[in-house]
Amino acid sequence: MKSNKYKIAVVGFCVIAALSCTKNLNEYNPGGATPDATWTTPEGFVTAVNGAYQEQRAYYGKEDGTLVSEGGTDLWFTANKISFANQVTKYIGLTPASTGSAGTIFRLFYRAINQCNAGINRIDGAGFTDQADKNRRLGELRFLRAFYYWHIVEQFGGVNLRTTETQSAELTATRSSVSAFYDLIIGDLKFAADNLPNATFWGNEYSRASKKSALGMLARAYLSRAYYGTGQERADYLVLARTTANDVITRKAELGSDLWVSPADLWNPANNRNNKEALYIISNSTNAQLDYDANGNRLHAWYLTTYSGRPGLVRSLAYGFDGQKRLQPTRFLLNLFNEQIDGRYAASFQETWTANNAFTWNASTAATYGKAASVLGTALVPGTSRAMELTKQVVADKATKPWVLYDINDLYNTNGTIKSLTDFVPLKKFLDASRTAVDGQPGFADIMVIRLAEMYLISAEAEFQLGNYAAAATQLNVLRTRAAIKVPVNQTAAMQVSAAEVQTGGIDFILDERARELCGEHLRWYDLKRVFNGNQFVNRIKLDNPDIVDVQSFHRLRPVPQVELNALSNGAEFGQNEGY
Amino acid sequence: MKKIYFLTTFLFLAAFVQAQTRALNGRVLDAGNSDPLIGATITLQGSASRQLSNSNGKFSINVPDGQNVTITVRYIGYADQTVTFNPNDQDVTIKLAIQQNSLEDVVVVGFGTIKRRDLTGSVATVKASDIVKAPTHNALEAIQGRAPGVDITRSSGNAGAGVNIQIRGTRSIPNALNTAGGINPNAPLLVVDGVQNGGSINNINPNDIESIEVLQDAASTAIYGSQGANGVIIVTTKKGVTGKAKISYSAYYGINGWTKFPQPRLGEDYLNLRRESYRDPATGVIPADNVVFPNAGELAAVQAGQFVNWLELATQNGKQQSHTVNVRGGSENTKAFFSVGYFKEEGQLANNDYNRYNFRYNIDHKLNNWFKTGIVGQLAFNKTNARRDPLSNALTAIPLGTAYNADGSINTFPIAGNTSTISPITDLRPGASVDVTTGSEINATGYAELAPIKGLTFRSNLGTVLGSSRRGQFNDPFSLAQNNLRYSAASVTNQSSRYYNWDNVLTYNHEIQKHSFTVTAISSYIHSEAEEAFAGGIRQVLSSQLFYNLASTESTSRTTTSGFTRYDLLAYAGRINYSFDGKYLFQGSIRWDGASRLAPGHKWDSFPAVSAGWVVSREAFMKDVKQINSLKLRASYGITGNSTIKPYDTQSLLNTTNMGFGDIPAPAYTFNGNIVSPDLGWEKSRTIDIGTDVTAFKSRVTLGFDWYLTKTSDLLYPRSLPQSTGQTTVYQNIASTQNEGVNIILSTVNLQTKNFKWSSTATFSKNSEKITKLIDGRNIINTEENSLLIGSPVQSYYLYKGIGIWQQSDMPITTTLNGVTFKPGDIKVEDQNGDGKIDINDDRRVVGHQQPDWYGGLQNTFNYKGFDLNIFLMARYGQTVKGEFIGRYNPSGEANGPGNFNYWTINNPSNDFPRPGRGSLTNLYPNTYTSLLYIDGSFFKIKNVSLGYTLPKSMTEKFKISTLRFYATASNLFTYSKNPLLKDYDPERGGAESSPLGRQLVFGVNLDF
Repeated sequence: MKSNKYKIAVVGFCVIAALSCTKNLNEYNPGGATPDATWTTPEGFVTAVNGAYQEQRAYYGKEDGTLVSEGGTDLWFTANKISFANQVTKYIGLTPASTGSAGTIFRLFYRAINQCNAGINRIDGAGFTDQADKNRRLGELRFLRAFYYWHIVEQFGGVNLRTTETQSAELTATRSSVSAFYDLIIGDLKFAADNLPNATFWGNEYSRASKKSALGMLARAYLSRAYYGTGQERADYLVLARTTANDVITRKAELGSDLWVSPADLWNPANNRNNKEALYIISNSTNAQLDYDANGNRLHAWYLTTYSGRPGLVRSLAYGFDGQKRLQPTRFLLNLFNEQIDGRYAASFQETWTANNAFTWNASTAATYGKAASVLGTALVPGTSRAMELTKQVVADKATKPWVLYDINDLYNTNGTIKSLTDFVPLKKFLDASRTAVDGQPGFADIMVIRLAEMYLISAEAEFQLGNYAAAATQLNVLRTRAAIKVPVNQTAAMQVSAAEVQTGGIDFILDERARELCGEHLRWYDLKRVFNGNQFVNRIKLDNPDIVDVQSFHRLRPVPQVELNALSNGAEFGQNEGY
Repeated sequence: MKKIYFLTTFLFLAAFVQAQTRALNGRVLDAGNSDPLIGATITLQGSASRQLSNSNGKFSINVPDGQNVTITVRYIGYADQTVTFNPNDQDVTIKLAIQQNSLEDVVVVGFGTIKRRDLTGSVATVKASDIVKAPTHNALEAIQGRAPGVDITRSSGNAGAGVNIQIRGTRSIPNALNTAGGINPNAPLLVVDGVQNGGSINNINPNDIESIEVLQDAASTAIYGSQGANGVIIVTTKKGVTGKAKISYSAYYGINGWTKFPQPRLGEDYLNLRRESYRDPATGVIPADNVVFPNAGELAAVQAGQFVNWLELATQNGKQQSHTVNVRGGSENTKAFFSVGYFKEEGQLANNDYNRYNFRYNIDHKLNNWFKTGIVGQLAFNKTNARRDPLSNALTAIPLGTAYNADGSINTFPIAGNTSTISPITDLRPGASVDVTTGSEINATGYAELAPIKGLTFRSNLGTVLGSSRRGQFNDPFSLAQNNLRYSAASVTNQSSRYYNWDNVLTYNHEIQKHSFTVTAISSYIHSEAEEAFAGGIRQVLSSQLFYNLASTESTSRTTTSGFTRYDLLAYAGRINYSFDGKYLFQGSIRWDGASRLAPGHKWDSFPAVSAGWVVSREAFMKDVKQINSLKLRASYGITGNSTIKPYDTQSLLNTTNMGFGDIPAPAYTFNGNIVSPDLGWEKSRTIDIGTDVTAFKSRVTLGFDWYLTKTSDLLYPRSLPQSTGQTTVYQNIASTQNEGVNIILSTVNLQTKNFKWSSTATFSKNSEKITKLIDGRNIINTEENSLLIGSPVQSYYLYKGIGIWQQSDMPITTTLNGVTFKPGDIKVEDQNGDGKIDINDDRRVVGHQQPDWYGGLQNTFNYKGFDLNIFLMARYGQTVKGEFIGRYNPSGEANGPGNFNYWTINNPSNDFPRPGRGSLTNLYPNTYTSLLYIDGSFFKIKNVSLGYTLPKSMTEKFKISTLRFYATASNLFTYSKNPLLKDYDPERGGAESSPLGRQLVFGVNLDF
């Protein structure tokens, strides 16, 4: 009996021990970070501001940004005429379900806008004691929100305008007018311009938004906004655009920006870092940990043509990575330049390649490239001999030249459509000197998002629309003077344009000048949609880029992605953009 | 007074009888192969006398002299035998026959055991002898097709790959969040020696396993409450037995390979496709080769006829081997089982192998008559050399150039002058690409079992799992992984985990006349912690340092991350079993569960279950039905749960992201995309199960049948938010599903003569699943693979239905897609509403689903004298697979693709694949090409054929060997696929192109001393 008591005592003890293990079921997550814990001190809050820059880097330097902003315009067609990103490069199959690169912008930029809203909404709880510091951070956030919203409203029109952080399952949305978008954009940019410091304040963090960034963006926003208005409203915004652009130009020294003396200097890869002409920069670092992803900036590759593997040529750092072609110029774009007097052509496009590999012409290669028997045995000397030439000129005796040579008639048909399936004149603005591996795709160059030259063009366009042709010509001539070839013969005089020429040339002249100055710089699609109504938009593209045949007037806006409408419980009420 | 007289007489007689005894000697053997059975229990009827057979199967028991005696012999896994001997019998031999699903078998269930006779739930059992029949390192692969309701497929052809397992269909909704890291939200709970989640099944040597039980219905699984919704797999390892130590050695050696995989295009076949892609649609002209091959190196290779079949160069035949030595033995009080195992598998790709070492120790000790204790556990160490699967590269690489340099080394750039197209076999260069993981897992389970008074036992079980792994990776600038970046990268990932599960089970057993009760009370606690640290860098100085000196990487490039995950689970449960006369059975249970990962206020819930059984064959009216040996009807109903979300999924968290301004690093946090839903609760499954177990015709036929219906509600799903919210998903309880099906197992002895036996076991499982309810009553339309549609299975494929290719004869074509009119050679998809416009909202439909309609296995075993032949057939029918390699059709010929695809050209009006053209599939055939990818994956295969020969005892006994068996096994021998596109592919893999399944030919030996 005694033994039984002992046994029961042992079992009883064990049972009680077992039942008493009522552990805490609260989650323990020391590695996690919540917004409430992170963004409530000034030091922690900076991480919210830094995070707001993130999605720009998914746009600039990546494929989507280039395709959606330069593709589908009068300037570019898909490289080698292949089927690529047809929705935005050719307007083929652009539907709500199949938005291509445009849909990516929608998703990424709204993500960024939510980040901005979270910061703007929470900054009062972040414990800033220095009001100027707080306003600088708020200035960055409001600059960024305006930047993202400008892209959203220009691409998609009056869609969903959110100004608060999403904190619960919000399944409905309402449309806001384009003017409501611009009211927010302009308000944000004015605040940013008032509160952001000059560029020098940021020191080595030069790619943060500064006062010149906000003013530059504001000038761009005023100009875009003007075209949505009529009569006095339109004139008012044009004046604001001009005034703001001129303000930047006038205060350029104070704001920390200046024009280079020549286009060659502007695009010299050695001048890429913290480029002095920039008003706003997306920076990339050779330290991949500071870049959006391991690919960094691949803009250097999108506009190049194939040169490696041609007789006498192997891939080199100097000539760039030619394995990821995306866009090639239209004949219209090449012919916009008078390369005899305008230095921008040579600074922007590459027509000749010098051999970087020994080669001697033989019979089979000569046959492949259509060469005459006279070239047989000609040796190409690396560093000296010309190996390839792709030119907008007409060349008379191509067969006898001991290098690969295609002229304008090989590259384009007489109606302006693209003829060559293998070669084109490449844009070289974005050649990247920071790359280290010849065959590596990542690039680490900075990207100028807004630069001072655009201010002259904005000012000129506003003056033109206001009827001040002389003022317009004056601004254009600043850029044209800079662009003029100076040696051996100074072509400055030849480059000057008169008020009458501007007036006669009309808006097309302004657009042509923008193309000469800014081609490839993520703006062309916005330019066309800004200045043209639907039919003009279609006609311009079809005339100058005859390979694009499917563009229609409603393509001035992209479709709202179907996934957005599917996720909305009031998707039908929200509605699709017209035409889709 | 009378009573006392009788009692006195009885005692006197008893004493007399006891005085007059003799020793009856005998031997217990396996009726099939005449192996001695060690540790069989021999009981004398009408007495407490009981003996165990020794290592030779011999026993000696004292029996009353001069009269007939009846003894009963019992051995687990064999049918009991009761024999009567006359007073002169001596040196008797008793042969026990293996009994499948024997009613007297003890079945392991949640927190206890029960005789199959008394079972009211649905439990499938697979015994040790069946588990080692298929030579594989993973015990679950070995039970493929042997347990009804359990759908098992090998996950890939990689060395050391595990299995995909799903019991009775899909309840929870797999999604990007809950499947991250290879987790399957529909995976069953694995219980190893009583420990929930007691380590990885891949770490357990199949030779160490005594039995595997699969609990399927809610009555059986509800005792596991929140972890039971997807079924429970209970693995019990071998224990020591009393008697002289018995040593066994088993080994096999074999070859992996002969993989079926679509061959790439070669020679003119390839050139023609590429040229065709350049055909001008307007003029019909194909330009000259210098336009078609603008790269000079390619053109030269074409002209020189340098074609390469990369697939052939990328694959090989690998080897596999396994060795296990185990020892079983023990005294009356202490029993032990020790085992040492080694397994190595080489895949069909060079540098892909898996090594595993196991050391197991299972020790039980009886301190006294009421206190037992023991320790069970193992150390498993594994090393895996993984690699980036090059098959997609081999299939798609331009089949031109020179694969090897003159000195036999690999030519990194096969096409002269083209330094962007890297060789698909570049990773075979020595040291070019290393990805090696070493892992160790220590399991130790200690238990104490107290039986203080009759009928009452208390068992405390503490199971621990300590895991650690290290993955080291190095890729040089010209490896496939770094090809686009062209710099080397090295990294090390360290993981460690600590896990324990402490269960306490109090059981009270009581019998009053014909009433029998068992009451069980349980407390269960689980605690898990895992940590991870990653360090990596790029551009290290010396490639030969691999990942062993990260300090030699470029200092600004180094990355480090670390993470911590913890979760806790606490549960209390109670269960009562009642049986009346072994005829009427009843079980009821309830469990309360609390989980740390659920939202506050919703952490706790309860999971009840009831079940009943009626053993019809014990009723008087069945006495005369001689054909039926036993017949039981069962019914059960219960509720189980699942949380399917990962720890911390109910918290709104920030991600750190890369950011810098200029060269200045900038810490940045962004939202992780999930919005918190404060009222997130358990997924709950309500299951009704009706079943029967029948044994008939002198136990030659055994049938098990179950019908079940599971309704699951409150399914957790990360619902997509509108993109304009800037957030991605919100977890909500959004859906209900239903699974209904039948499981059948039929075991028969078809023929039995003196020397020949043919027996077979067939399993058949049919399941139909559907979504019955969705939040807001609206279908959730995402991409083709993760749309949720009311009335369709969970993993349905929702897309356009391909119906061939548009032909010249269809002209003029008016049907459009996205406003573009189809042209001859385009893919033709079904216009559901006939409006002439293929529209994403109107014309998509469910074209198939991932889970099979039914699946089954058929096991046939033939024994003739010393020979045994086992043939295992399996079939899965009605599932749709995404044939990834079909997506490798390359219409531009810029890259290669499978060679047997018949594509449309103006001169070849094929109806199978579309017209070649310049651009990618997605650009040329936007939204329609996917309609070709999803195809019927139904197949039938001869999974295993095994032929063995056991040497006669007369030969082996001279060498003190009790059993010596040789065998040869061929796996994945033959497959028949319903869809001809799968002709060159093993569809058990499920459509993925990486790591296809190969065949195995294995030779083995089993040796027992």
